[in-house]
Amino acid sequence: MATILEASGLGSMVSMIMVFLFVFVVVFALLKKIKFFGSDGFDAIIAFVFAVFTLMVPETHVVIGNFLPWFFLFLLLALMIIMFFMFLGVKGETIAGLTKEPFMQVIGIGGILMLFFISMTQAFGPFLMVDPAAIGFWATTKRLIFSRHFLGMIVLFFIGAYTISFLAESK
Amino acid sequence: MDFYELLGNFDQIGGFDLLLPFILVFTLMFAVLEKIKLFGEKKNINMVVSLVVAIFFLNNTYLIFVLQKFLPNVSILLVIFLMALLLFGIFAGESEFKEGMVGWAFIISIIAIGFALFSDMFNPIMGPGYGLSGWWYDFIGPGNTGMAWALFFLVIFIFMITRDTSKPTNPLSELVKYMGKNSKKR
Repeated sequence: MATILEASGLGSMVSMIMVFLFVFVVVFALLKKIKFFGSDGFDAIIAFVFAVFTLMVPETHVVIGNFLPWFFLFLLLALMIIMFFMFLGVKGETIAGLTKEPFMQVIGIGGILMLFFISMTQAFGPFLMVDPAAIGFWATTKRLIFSRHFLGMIVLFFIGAYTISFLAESK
Repeated sequence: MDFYELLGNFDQIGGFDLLLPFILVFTLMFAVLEKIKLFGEKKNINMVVSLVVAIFFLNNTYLIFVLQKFLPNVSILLVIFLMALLLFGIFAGESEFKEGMVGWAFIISIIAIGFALFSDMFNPIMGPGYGLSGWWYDFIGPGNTGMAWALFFLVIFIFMITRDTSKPTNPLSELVKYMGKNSKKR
């Protein structure tokens, strides 16, 4: 089934405009919020440059176009869980307390990172796959990070850190 | 013109595929951005961001399909829960929300949303390898049914043998109580 943008024949054009708008508005709003330059003109110029540079890389359209809808679905799931939660009689303050739990924050950040990597894969192909024959800085770094020794060491560190904190607890 | 025809016309002009998802995505994004004030008090910025997200969402037919399956399932589950609570209410009368119940509510909510997301759960036409719940059909295939029951009874058997009868509670209820207690502290 053709999407609405494809059916209108303006797919790439609308997609470009949307990406430009999104990057421009987000960068402008953030610059305005943190008051880095203190002037709307400077903020607008910098946001414009960011947006144009983003448009110049075609893969960014794919990343943003894939990430945003999936992110919304993630958000919708969270909202629905909260809705069920409140439907079952839990108060709003309790939910606010739950969102401060590190476990919940890890799930949220992990989910968003996963969506981002999936979007990157849509644009750049399986860029995290390790090619044993490839040469160069990026290929070597990937081989190092995704090697059994390195990942095993990270797991060991995690277990060690958890054990130390568990044993050192005063209770 | 009757209601069937009206809804048919609405469907034909893309009301269910485009208009309603657009309204939902735009409204929810706008409401969330307004609430969390990520970009300050600027309404127009929130509006543009919501618009971009909504248009990108419409450009993904798979997500529209998921949404169209997911939301009715959530509604069905809400009705089921409502009826269950009504039935409980007949016997229990008015009751207050106790500490350990928060954890149970959390677990039930997660299970309900997972169940609703497996969008074809309520559709008997769908079969193995289809959608998110395809694994379930594959798992409960003719070759695996015996194994699934054997595993189920094995788990029950091990639980019955190894449980500590001296304590009145089990680990699951402890976990639920812990979650409830921690969330109440905040």
